[in-house]
Formats: sequence, structure tokens, C-alpha cells
Amino acid sequence: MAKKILYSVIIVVIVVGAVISYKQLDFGGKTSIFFKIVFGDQSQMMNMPRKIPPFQGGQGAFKPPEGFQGGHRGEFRPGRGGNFENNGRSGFQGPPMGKRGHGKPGMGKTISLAKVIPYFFILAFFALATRVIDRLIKR
Amino acid sequence: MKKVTFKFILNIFLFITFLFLMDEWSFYGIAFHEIAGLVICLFYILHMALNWQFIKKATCRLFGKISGRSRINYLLDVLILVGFILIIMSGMGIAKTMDFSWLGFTKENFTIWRFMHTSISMIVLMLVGIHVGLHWNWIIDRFKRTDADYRG
Repeated sequence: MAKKILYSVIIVVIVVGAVISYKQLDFGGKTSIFFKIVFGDQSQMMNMPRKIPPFQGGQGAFKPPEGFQGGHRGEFRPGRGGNFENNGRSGFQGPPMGKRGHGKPGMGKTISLAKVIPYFFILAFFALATRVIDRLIKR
Repeated sequence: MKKVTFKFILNIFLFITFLFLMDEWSFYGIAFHEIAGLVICLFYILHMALNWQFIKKATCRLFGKISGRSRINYLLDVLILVGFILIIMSGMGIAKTMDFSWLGFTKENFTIWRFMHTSISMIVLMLVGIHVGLHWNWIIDRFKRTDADYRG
């Protein structure tokens, strides 16, 4: 009896978790993109609105405040060669987690299990559904 | 270590790594994602090599006398294999910490590679779920035997 209750609870958790994860990950939308690529509906995909507006530099969008004559630009003097390693100076060195909070490439981050959980639920749901269908066929 | 036990440990390792690879920022950033993505490919080949007898038998019997279950299993395995190849290919097209331009991957088709990578990953996740479901008895059996082995 206890086993049956435990199994029922697990099944409910997996199904509810999978439904929430499906919405959270936009599973249907992401999966359908592959078929759009394969079956030639690429125009719609290419015209999808960007989440971040394109950089407006060089189009007159950025205007420095009046009276601004530029500051010290020692950080970017010639010969630096794009090396952005720690230069031993204090002060602002750029956002620690990158522009979008995703972390810079190669940057060490702690394990974030929370991001993996929705995928686990999706996988568990399909495993469970297959198991149920398999047992029904065997009967 | 028995071959079956090794297979089981390898499968658990593949399962966990695959889940961590689903989100590029879930585990030590993009560098880990790209390196582990290539490494998992080698382990996947090892997984196939360990099940080579099944692949050989099923391929020979595919159009002959074979159970429907084995046929579905075989088809599913082929789809997962194709999916993994496409994931790795598209991953090379969008790699940030590694340069695959020597393989002909340019940034011109970045958007298509990017969408393909995400989309196929989701499809393969679904297929791996079905794969796990079809091998559920084997998994439970392994857990029981491992437990029995520990108890002596």
C-alpha cells in the first residue's frame, strides 16, 4: 500500500513538473524550429524579434552629455592586444557575470542544479509515458 | 569489474552529463559545455561499442524475423545517433571558446546552427526519455543486482 502511494506521488510530481517545465522551456516552440528549418520555413525564423535591440552605435543614437570631453583611456591604450585579464587596478572591470548575467566564456561558475531540473522532468515524463504504454501493450 | 556493471556506470555518467549539457550555463559555463559536449561524444561511441552485439544482431535481422520492440529500439537508437551527430555539428558551428573554422564552420549561418542546436537537443532529450523508458526493466535489474552485490 505504501509503495502504491509512493509511486502515485512520484507520477503526479513528474507529470506536474513536466507540464511546468514544458511551459518554462518553451519545449514545443523550440522543438518545432527544427521542422521549420528542415521543411523550409526559415524566413519566419530569421525574422523573429530580437530580445536585445541591435547596437545603435554609428547611427547618431548615442550622444555624450554636453561638455563631455572624454576621460582617461589608459585601460585601452594601444598594445594591449585585447587582453582583459586582471591588471591589478581597482575600479570597475566590467560586469562580473557578463552583459546578460550569463557568465563570461570560460568563467568558473558554481553548479546550478535548478537549471537542469526542468530538463530532468521532461526526460522523466517521456520515460514514464513510454513505460506506461509498454506495460499496456504487454497486457 | 564486470562488463554489465561498467555499462551501467557509464550509462549513469552519460545520463547525468547529458542533463548538465542541456543548459549551457548550468555547470561551469560555456567552456565546460563545449569540451564536455565533445567528450560525451567519445563516451557515446563507447556506449555503442559495448552494445555492439545488439547492434550487429538487430542490423542483420532488421528485415527478417525480429520482434516489434527490438525494431522500435533500433529505430530509436538510429534517431538518437543522428540527433547526436547533428547536435555536435551544429555545436561546432556556434562554438565560442573553440575554433572550428578549419572544418568549414563559418559564422555566416550562425542563426540556423544556433536554432538547430537548441531544437535538436530538445528532440534528443525526448528520444533519450523514451530510450530510458524502454530499458526501464534493465535499469531496475541493475540497481537490484548492485544492491545485492553490496550486501554480499
